[in-house]
Amino acid sequence: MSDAAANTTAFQETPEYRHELLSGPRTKALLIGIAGFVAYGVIGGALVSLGQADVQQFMIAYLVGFLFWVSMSLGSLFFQSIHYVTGGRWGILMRRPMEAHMRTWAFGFVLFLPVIGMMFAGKSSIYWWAGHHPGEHEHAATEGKKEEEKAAHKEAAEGSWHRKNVTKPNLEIDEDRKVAEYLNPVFTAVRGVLYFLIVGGAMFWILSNAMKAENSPDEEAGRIARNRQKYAGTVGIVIFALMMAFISTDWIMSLEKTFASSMFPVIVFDNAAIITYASGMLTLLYLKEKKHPHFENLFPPTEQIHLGSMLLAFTLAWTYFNFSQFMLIWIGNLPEEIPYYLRRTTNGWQYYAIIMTVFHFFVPFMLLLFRHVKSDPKVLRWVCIGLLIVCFTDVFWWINPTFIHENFSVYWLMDIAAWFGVGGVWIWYYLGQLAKRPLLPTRELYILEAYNHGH
Amino acid sequence: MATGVLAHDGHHSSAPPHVEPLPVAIGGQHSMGSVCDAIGDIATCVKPHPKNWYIVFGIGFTLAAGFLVAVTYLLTYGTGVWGINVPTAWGFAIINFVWWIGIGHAGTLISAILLLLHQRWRTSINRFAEAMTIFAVMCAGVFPLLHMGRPWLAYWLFPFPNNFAMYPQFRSPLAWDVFAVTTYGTVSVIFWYVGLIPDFGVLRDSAPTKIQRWAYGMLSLGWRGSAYHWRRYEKVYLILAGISTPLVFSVHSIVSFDFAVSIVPLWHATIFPPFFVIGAIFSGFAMVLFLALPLRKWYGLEDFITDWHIDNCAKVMLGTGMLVSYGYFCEVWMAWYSHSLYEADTTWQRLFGPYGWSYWTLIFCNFIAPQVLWYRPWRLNPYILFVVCVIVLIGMWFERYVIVITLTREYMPSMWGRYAPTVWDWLLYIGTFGIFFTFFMLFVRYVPMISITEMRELLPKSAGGQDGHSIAEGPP
Repeated sequence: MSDAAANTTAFQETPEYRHELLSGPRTKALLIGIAGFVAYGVIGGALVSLGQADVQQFMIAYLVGFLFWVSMSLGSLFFQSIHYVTGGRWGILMRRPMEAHMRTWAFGFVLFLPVIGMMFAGKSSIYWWAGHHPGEHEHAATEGKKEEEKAAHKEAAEGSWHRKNVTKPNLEIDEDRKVAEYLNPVFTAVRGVLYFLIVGGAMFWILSNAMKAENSPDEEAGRIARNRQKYAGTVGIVIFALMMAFISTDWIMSLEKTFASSMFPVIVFDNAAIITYASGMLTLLYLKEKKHPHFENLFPPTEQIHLGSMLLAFTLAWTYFNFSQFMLIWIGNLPEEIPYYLRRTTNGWQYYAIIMTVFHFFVPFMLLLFRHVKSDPKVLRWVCIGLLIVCFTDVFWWINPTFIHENFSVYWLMDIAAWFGVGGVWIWYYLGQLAKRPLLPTRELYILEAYNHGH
Repeated sequence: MATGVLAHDGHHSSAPPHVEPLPVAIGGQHSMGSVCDAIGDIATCVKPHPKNWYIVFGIGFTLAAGFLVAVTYLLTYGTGVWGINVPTAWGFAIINFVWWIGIGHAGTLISAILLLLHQRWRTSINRFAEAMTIFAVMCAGVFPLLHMGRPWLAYWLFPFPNNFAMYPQFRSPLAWDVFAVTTYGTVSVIFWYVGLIPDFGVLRDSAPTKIQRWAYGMLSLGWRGSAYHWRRYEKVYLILAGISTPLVFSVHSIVSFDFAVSIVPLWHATIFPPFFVIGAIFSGFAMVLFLALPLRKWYGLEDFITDWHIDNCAKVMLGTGMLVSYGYFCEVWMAWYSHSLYEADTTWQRLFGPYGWSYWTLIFCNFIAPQVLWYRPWRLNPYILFVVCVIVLIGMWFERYVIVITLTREYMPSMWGRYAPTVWDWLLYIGTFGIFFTFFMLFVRYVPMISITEMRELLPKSAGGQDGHSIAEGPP
């Protein structure tokens, strides 16, 4: 046995060691979080008072930040469940980051409270249904028609054509019923709480069972718990899939009045998967960089390549899902759906779309295709950071173009500040959870050791 | 900085790990020679073929004759002999096309994607799964070709220089289908054949008759098994796996576009591409097991197609079945959420309209029936598994039937109609089973249905060694 291997076997983590290892980034994250929230408030206040942004934009910025960070907890339920069902070394390496991600779910609920507030903000809300009253759309339609006629006269007089008019056809969608039956503030808020309870229940079951499986002094009880992990994982996947469909519909898709795409929850899932996995990878790479003996020896370049290939797969899937949705909506050209992409291909958003295609697909694809990129911890770390940034731009893209920004404004500074604000606090909480348990499951270390030492 | 502490005895203080035995990839006590004999002797007919081979081949050949009758009648009288009408203008032709092409996907997934994912268990089932793919694509291709009405003009679908002022409409997914399916068929054949070359070399050297030695010699393309040959072979095989992998997704995505680019309610669903791909893998694995279970029993191949393989295939089927069911949920959920008049009403018609029975049949077949696979002893019971596979194959046919039949109840009631296949629809469909089983049985008879060389590569692990460790010739 080599010296490194002997060290790995003999090394035992202490809680003090873990806390010391993680306390530095934890403090930094908290400071960044506080600075982010301060910046969010200052920039928001300044822009609103200067008339460069409105209160809605303030809410949007928070929603973007919230959705990005909470998707890490959701994504971890998926990965942990998949690991329990299918096995594999990647899941052993990723277990602690995923468990720590899951334990931030309750914190996510605290961050969700302002979103509930947005649902009850009436006409000021970013959710159109929050201030919708039955019969309103008929009145609005009549008014809209008058407005359209006026605009048409104006355009004819000016000899110009504005694309926005294309998005006001007579739709066969019953908005009143939609709001009465589903998208009303009370029901949506109650559902939101239920999602947290259901997902939280699944996470609690998985985490408590994992504790028994690893630490139970009774060998038989531990064996039963390990067998139960497969079932817990299966239930976790089913709950994750259903909740993802509802959450992405309620919190994101419902921002658009008529947009309904069955692919959208899948796109949200894939983004969450990339965010979660990249975050887990960054954790592992950090521990390796800090020369934690387990990660130095049991997370060699070959394992980095395997884990990096998973990121490549999710990046490819992102492209596949997004292209399919875009192409089908573009070619269908239906009045209910096409406004979603019309808004995202005009007023400068078309350049944003091109940039996203380049940096969310071509660049990571070309980088993650090569083994030497995946096997170099420094390069891989930058790829993961890059992916987190482009995933943020994706969340931004789902939400911001829905709202027309008449004047040039630096409103997006609020989104970035909120992202840092929520993110800093979230990472601080996450690292605190990570420090609570050994950074690799000691019971299964032998699998990694056996593989990496060629036995 | 505080550091961790080293245990004095140099060992973990945690509880001893619970080590499960590795699954069995090759059963029995096999050597390099016995693997060759057990598989090669079937192809060279040293081992007599079981009675069931003749029965299946006989039935297949009879049905293939029925296929020829159906095609002849169709070409004589035109597509009016089918039950197609307006609004259901595609009818059985597209149902059967999608069903067959979907079945082929499991073969490519097993061969290419599982190879890239280093899944050892693919080795004993990839060969006949690839053959299944090729024959399934052949059967699939028949339907759009005949549905054209004038199949002799099929070459007009290709963009070739001509003086008719004819050019394919590249905005039509039907034109995309032409490229997708022909590419898929071509790559599948090349991939399959390249994988066969070393095995043909083995059979050339071991076949008992002169004709067989000559035929396998020709087919092995001068294979000598030298290091150079192996190096090139491994490289080409990996490249072909890389090319085939995107095809698993692209082909059925493009097939789904046939429906999804339209604006028909419930056809225009953005989730269709991945939903179709998963459905294809689901039905493909059902067909793999449908073929594998009898084959391993008739030819005594339990040492090569072990319970591990069967269990894994069943698990894939269960997983993909759940994903397909998620797709059914998403369709209904999104139709309700959108509160779109036409989406909601067409969904209602699909569930409770005159063809509602077909929807609930597919729910039973694709969602409820596969639930028995949660229980491991049932997954390993060949009879239960076989019945589930048949149910899934029927269910996946109904899935396409339900999609196509949507046309009978879309938009305005004045557009509504009904659809009933005629005897010629059925004969053509059943006839393709004849084509499939005739070719498949001939494949089983003359080609090694399990890769000899790849099974030999697995031997060191099965004999207790690891990659790169040699084992002695002869039973250990």
